[in-house]
Amino acid sequence: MMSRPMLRRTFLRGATGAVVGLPLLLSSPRSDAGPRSGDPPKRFITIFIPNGVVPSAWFPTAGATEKDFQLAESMVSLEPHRDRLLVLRGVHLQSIDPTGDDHQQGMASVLTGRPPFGPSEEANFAGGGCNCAAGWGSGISIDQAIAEQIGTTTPLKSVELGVMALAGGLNGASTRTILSYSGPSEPMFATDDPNQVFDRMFGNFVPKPGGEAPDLQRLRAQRKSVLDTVLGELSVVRNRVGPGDRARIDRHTDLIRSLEHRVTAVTQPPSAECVVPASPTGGLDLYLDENLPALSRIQLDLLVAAMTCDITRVATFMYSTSNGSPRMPFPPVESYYDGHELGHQAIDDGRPEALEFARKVTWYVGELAYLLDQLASIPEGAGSLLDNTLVLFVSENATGQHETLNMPFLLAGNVGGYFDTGRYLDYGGVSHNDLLVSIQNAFGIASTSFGSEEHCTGPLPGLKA
Amino acid sequence: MATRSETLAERIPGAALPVVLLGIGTACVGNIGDSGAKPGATASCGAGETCVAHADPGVRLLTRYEYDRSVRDLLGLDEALAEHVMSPDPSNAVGFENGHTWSLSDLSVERYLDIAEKLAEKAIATRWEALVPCDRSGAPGCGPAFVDAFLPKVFRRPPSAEERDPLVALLTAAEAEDGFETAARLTLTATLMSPQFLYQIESDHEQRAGDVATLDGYEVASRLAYFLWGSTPDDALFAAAKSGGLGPSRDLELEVRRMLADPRAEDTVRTFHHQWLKLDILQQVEKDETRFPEFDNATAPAALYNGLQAFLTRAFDGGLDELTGSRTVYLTPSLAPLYGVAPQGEGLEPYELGAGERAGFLTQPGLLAMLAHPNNHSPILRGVFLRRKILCGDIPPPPPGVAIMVPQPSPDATTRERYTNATSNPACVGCHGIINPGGFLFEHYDSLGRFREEENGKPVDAHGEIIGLGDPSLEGELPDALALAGRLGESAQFRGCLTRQWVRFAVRGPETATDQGLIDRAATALEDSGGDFREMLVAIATSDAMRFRRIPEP
Repeated sequence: MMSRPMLRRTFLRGATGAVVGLPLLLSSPRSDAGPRSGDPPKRFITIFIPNGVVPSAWFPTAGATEKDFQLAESMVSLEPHRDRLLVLRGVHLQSIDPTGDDHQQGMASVLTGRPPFGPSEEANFAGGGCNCAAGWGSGISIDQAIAEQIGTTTPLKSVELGVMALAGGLNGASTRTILSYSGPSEPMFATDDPNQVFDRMFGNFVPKPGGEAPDLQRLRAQRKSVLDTVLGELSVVRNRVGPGDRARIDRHTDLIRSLEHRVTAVTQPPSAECVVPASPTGGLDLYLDENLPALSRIQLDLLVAAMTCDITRVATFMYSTSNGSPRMPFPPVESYYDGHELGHQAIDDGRPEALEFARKVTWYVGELAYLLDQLASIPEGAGSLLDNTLVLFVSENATGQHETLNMPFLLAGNVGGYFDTGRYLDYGGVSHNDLLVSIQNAFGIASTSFGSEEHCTGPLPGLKA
Repeated sequence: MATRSETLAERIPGAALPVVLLGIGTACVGNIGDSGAKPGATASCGAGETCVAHADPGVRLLTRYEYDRSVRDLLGLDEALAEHVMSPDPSNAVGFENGHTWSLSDLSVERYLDIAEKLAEKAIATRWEALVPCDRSGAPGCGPAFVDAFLPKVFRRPPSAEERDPLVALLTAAEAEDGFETAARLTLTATLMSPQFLYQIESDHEQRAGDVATLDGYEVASRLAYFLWGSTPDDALFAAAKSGGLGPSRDLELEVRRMLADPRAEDTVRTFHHQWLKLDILQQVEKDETRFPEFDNATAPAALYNGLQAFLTRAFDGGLDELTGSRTVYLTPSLAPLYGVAPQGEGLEPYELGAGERAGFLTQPGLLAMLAHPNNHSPILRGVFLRRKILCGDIPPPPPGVAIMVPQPSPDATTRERYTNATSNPACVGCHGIINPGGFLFEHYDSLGRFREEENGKPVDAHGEIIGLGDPSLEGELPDALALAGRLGESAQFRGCLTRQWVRFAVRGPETATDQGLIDRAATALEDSGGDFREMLVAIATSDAMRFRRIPEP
C-alpha cells in the first residue's frame, strides 16, 4: 500500500520536502538604491473577515460633526488610530444577483463589484441553504487592478495571505474561498502556511551588499533556458488542442512568460528600513482554532516585512473564508461555537449569541489595530509606512444573517494624503462599487466605474481630502 | 449517439445537484424536479449507441494528488510536494475534485517551478541509475537516449520530433555550459514543467462523429490510469495503448482487471472515499475540550480518519456485505480506551466492538464523530448525510429567512427531544419529518462516535424511519442504525447510489441523464457479483465513458 496517512497540516521547516533548493525568486528586497527620490510608494492592503459583524457593536455613535464620533465596542482598539479611519455606513452590496448562495455572492462581489458567474462545466460549486450553485468570480478584483497599476516594479505584484483560508471541508477551494481575482474566473488562492509565504517573499537568500554571487547569475540563466523550452512546448500544444482549449494554453503561456520575467530580474540591494525576518519556526497546526492568534501575528509580521522591504505593494489577508467556522477558544473571546452557525444566531437584539459574535469581530479588529501599529512604526519619508498605505477592512456579508445592506466597510490610512480621514460617514444607501471606484482613483486609476457598470455612479462623494 | 440537443444548461441544471427524480411524493422533496434532471428511465442509450454524455475540455490539469502520484511512479520519489504547496483542487457540485475548474495564477506557476526544481534535484541525487543510461559524466548519445526513454512516459504518449528536439537541444546546450549532470537536471525540470505533463491532453481529433471524438489508445490509457490509479500509465498500459489493445474488447477488460489488482488502485479507493464522504471534515474535526477533555484535538482526528480509511479499504476488498455489516473498527492505542477496548499493538489495529454495537461503515466512530458539532452530536447532520450522500435522495434547503438555531446540550432533555422540539414548527416539519427519523437511528452514538445506552439517565431512543425513496427493501420503521445496516445491502437504492457516486468520480462531474444506462449496468454488475466492487468498476472502466469525448460547444 503506497498511500500515506493524510495528517493534519502543520507548518514545519522543510515541510515541503527533504530537498532544499535555492529560493525561487531570489527576491532581494528592492530599493531606490540610495535616498528615495520622489514620493514614497503607495500600498494597498485588504483585510477580510467572514460572516459580517453585529451592527450595534460595529457602527460608531455619530456626533455633531463627521469627526466627532464615538467608536463602538468592536472598534475600541482602533482609538489610537481614529484620525486615520474612515468608517462607512450606508454602503450596500448591490452588484449581486440570484446566482449562488449569499456567501458565494458576497465573496465574489465584495472586491470585484460583480456577481459570480453561474455554474458551468468548468466551475460548479454547490451553494448552501439554496437550490443553487455558482462559478468563480466574474471580473478582476480591486486589489489586482491596483496591483496592475502599482505592483509591476516589485518582485511580487501582490501577495495573498490567509489564516485558515483554505481549511478544506465545506470551505475548500470554491467561490466561498476566493477573495481576489486576477480576471474573470481567475481565482487567487491565499497561502495559509507562513513558511510558504516566507519562502515566496524572502527565500533563503539574505541579500548582501556588493552584488550577487556568480552562482545566482548562472541559476538565472538556467531557469531562463528551462522556461524558454517550456514556452516552446506550449506553442506546440496550442496547435494540437481544439479551439475551445486554446484560451487555457494561452493563459498558461502568459503566466510562464511573467514567471520568466520575475525569475530573471536582476536584484538590487535593500533599503535601510528593510530587515529580512527570520524564517518562521514551525510546529503550529495551521487549522487548529486555538492557533488563530499565533498564526495571525506571524502572517501579519511577514506582510509588514514584505511591505517594508518593497517586495510587494499589494496584499490581501483573509481570516478564514466566507462561511468560515473557526471558533475562538481563547481569552478574551472564549467562543467555542462554530463561527458560521453562531453568526446565524447572532441576531442583533442583545441576545447572548450576538454578544459572543461581537467579541469575535472585536478580536479581528484588534488584529487590524496591530497591523496599523506595525505600519505606523516603520519610518518612511517624513512619516511612516502607514501614511502611504490604505487598509481596506471588509466582510462578504453585513451580518451573520447574510444581510447585504450597510456593509461593514472600514478604511484606515490616507494613502499619501488622498483621503480626508478621521471621519464617520453615513452614505444612506449607495452601491459599494462607488467605494471601489474611490479606492482605484486613490491609486491613480482614473476610471469612474469599477465592476458592474449599472451599479457605478462615480467615486463616493466627500471621501477625498 | 447521445442526445445531441442537450445543452450545457440542461446538463448542469441551474444549479442544483442533478438528482434523478425518484418519485417522492412528499411536499418536502416535491421541488427536486426543478433541477431539470431528466428521469433516468427515459434517457439511457439504446443498443449500439455511443453513450458519452460529458463535454470535457481537451486539456485537464492534474489534481495535486494526481501530480504527486505521477511523480512517484515516474521518478520513484514519494515526496507529495504538490499536496503540500499547491492550492487545493476545487470540488465540483457533486463533491469530487476534477481539475477542470483549475485556473492558474502567478503563484501556482511559481510553485510548479519550485517543486519541479526540487524533484529534479532529488531525482538526480538519488535516482540517477534508474533514469539515465550512462554515468554522471555523460557519454556520446546518452543525452538523447535519456530524453527518448523518459519523455514518452512523462507525456503519456510518444512525442513528436517537434516536441522532443527542443528538450534534446536544452540538454545539449546545458551540457556544454554546466556539464552533463546539471544538463540532465535541467532537462528533468523542463519536462516536469511541460504542459504535456501538467495537463491530461486530448487532441482535437479528426475522428469525430458530430461532437463526439473517439479517443486514441494513449488517451484512453490516460483516462483509465487517472481513474483507476490516480496516476500515470505504466509500461504495460502504455504498450497496450501502442498495440491498439484498448478498444472495446476482452483485452481491455483484462487490462482493467490487471489495473484493479495493482496496489495503485488502493490509492484511488481511498481518494474516492475521501471525496465521496467529505472526509477532510473529519481530518479537521474539533471537539469542545470543556465537554470532551478525553478527546485530543491534535491527534485524534487523524487517527479516526486513518481508522475509517482502513475500514473502507478493507471493505472494498471484502465487498458490499462487509461494507454494510462488518463489526470491525480500526483504532490506535490512544483511541482504544475511548471506545471501551484495551489497547493492542502500536498503530492501527482491528477491534471487534461489543455485539449489537456496530454494523458497517455508517457506525464507524470516525464518521459519527464527523457528523457532529464541537459540543454535541447532530441528528440533522447525520440525517442529511444519510439521505444525500448515502442514499442519493434530495433535501431542499431551509426556507429563506429561517434563523437556524442549533439546539444546545442540556441536562433536562435528550438530544432527540431537543432536536424534535427545535424542528417542530410547521414550516420545518415537511423536511425534518424526513431528515430527523433518519438521523435519530444513530442516537446510540455520541459526539465522539461512542456507543451509549443512556443519555441524561434515560434510555436512548434510536428508532427512526426511512421515508419516500421508492425502495421497499429500505423504507419503513427501524429500531436503530444496526437494523438500517441490515437493509442497506439488500437495497437497490443504496447500490444505485454508491454506483452513482463512483460514476461521478469516474466522469469527474455530475452525472447526466445519459449516464443512467451506465449507472444501471454498473449497479447490476455489483448485484450480480454478490457485491464485488471490482466488478462494478470493471463495468465503468470498460464503458464508452472512457473511450469517447464529447467536444464542448464553443
